[in-house]
Amino acid sequence: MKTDMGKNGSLVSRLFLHWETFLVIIFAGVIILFSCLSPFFMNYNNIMNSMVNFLDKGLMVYGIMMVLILGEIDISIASIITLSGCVAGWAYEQGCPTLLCVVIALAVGTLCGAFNGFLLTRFKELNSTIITLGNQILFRGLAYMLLEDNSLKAYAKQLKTLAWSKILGLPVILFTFLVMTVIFYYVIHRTIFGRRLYAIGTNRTASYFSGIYTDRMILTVYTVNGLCAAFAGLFLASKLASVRASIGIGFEMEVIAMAILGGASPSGGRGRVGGVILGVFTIGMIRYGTGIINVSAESLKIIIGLLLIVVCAIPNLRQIIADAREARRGRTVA
Amino acid sequence: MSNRRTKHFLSDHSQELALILIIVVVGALVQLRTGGSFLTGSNLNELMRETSILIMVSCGMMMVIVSGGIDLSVGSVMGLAGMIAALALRDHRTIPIPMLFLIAISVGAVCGIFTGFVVAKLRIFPLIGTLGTCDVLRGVIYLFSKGVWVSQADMTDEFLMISTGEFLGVNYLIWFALIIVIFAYILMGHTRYGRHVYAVGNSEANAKISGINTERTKYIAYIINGMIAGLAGMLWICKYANAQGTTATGYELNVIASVVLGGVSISGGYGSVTGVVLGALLFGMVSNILPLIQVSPFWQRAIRGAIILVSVVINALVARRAARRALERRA
Repeated sequence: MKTDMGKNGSLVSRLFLHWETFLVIIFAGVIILFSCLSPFFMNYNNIMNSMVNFLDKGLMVYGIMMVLILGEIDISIASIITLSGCVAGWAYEQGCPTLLCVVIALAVGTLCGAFNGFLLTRFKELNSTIITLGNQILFRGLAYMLLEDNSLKAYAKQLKTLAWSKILGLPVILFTFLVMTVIFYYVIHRTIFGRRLYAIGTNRTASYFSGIYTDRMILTVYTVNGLCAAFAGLFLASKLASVRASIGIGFEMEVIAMAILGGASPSGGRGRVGGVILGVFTIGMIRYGTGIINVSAESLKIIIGLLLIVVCAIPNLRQIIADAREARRGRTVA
Repeated sequence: MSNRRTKHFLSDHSQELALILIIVVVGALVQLRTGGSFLTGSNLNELMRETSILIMVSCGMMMVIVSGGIDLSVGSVMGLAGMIAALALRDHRTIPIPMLFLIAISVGAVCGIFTGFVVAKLRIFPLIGTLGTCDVLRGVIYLFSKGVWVSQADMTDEFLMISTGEFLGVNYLIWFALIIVIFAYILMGHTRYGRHVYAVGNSEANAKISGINTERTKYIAYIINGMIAGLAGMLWICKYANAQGTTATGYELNVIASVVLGGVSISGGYGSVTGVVLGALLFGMVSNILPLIQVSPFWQRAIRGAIILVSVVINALVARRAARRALERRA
């Protein structure tokens, strides 16, 4: 959160007004907590191996972050992963070479994202909630139509190297995440495109009348978002070693939690890549740490759900407290 | 004069009338296609029993959506309330039935208070906030049940009677649905609170300036929605005679689909209880018909998604046309 108030304060107070500072503290807290709880937490190999468990969501986070900056939302990404994976797996069974299957997967994701964007820009009366909700059901439904309840292993086996091998000593997925981070950092913070994203998220009407093609931007962002989801789907298929219509259920919540923890906000115009990286790793470390101390998957659901709520509430707190104070003052005056 | 009045009635209720027309046409087509196995007494009775839970929960969801929110956690609330009622029944077999109702409804109310707190007090974007509560409450079910199912053997006959018994020849479930519908109809159409809900959904800022306590209005909508979902959750486990951790997973999507099908605007402030009941009926009918005309169960999810998208797009187009007509009339 960048505020103008910080400009006049000392360095320390300026630092504390940044959401990223908070995040570093939260992140350090999580690391310290789990290091105390388990001696196996701070183990380089364990940590590197855990990357594959949460960075597949990290690969989607920049897509959803751009959607959030626009002030929109997309809850269909988990279904896009599934549909793109299932179509590619099906194509492989029909005899397509692996590379073509990967292209098909990415193309399906791009198309799904573009379909979201198309509906959103074509029917302005509808908001992204209902469109992506409908598409969430539709896309996964299409995957079920295609594969019924079969799972396809051959295609996923071809992708095995993605999740399990290393480049320059780093897991491929971490390496990919870093490359994506650099690309999206450049696009979001160093290009006109990025500036326009924030402009639209802050005030769409004003941006439109300042000469920004808002519809085209929304369409582009949703398309890129679909592409990111399909790309992450390659890694997910590789990790699971199979594709089926039930993979990736509930991913959207975790990805959105990562982006919002990272400082993006569904009301638009906020969020920085640096914060989002921290958001990804904080939630990733919570997932990894709770796994190491044997917390059940159901309790993890509660923890991540509550975390999402708390994280969303924090930026509102100042306003809530101010309103409550004003209301109390009003009552005493009356 | 009377001609003009009918004309007004037609244009005011065009959405409801269109729904009735669709229901009749679809029913007739399926009757022809299946050679008469659709419109039989037993199938219609089953259809109504099936749909009554959907109608109930849709009425609650409608209040939330009209107030400008959305609740993705009703499926989890139903599962939780059903599970706790079932556990109470398993551990104390002599517990009176009204007590079970009380338990389920209060569990629903507590969930509603939680969701309302998240959305109204903490002012979290409803979609994201309830996505969070959906998972939290689903996790809480496992904390209570420890992964165990409550099966028919653990339930008493009096309890199972609730879903099979009849009063005046009509199944209890349908009576429950009727009570909830009448309650929602009066609350939304004929009380001050109902007007407030519409006002808040239309424009929260304007409602606030006009002196409406918007926070409380939204809060109450979520609580009522939670209570209805709690009641429905208990009826659900009674009807299917078992309670599991996954009871009613994803049911919120059916509910939202029927509310949207009933012509409620997803951005809030517009929609009628009659429309929602018809929307739920149509949705329930389609779900009942698909197996009858031998559509693979794997297709049903895609069809459900398509129904949501098509109905919101049609609603948008109708609203657009209405707005253009209003402009022309003024010119």
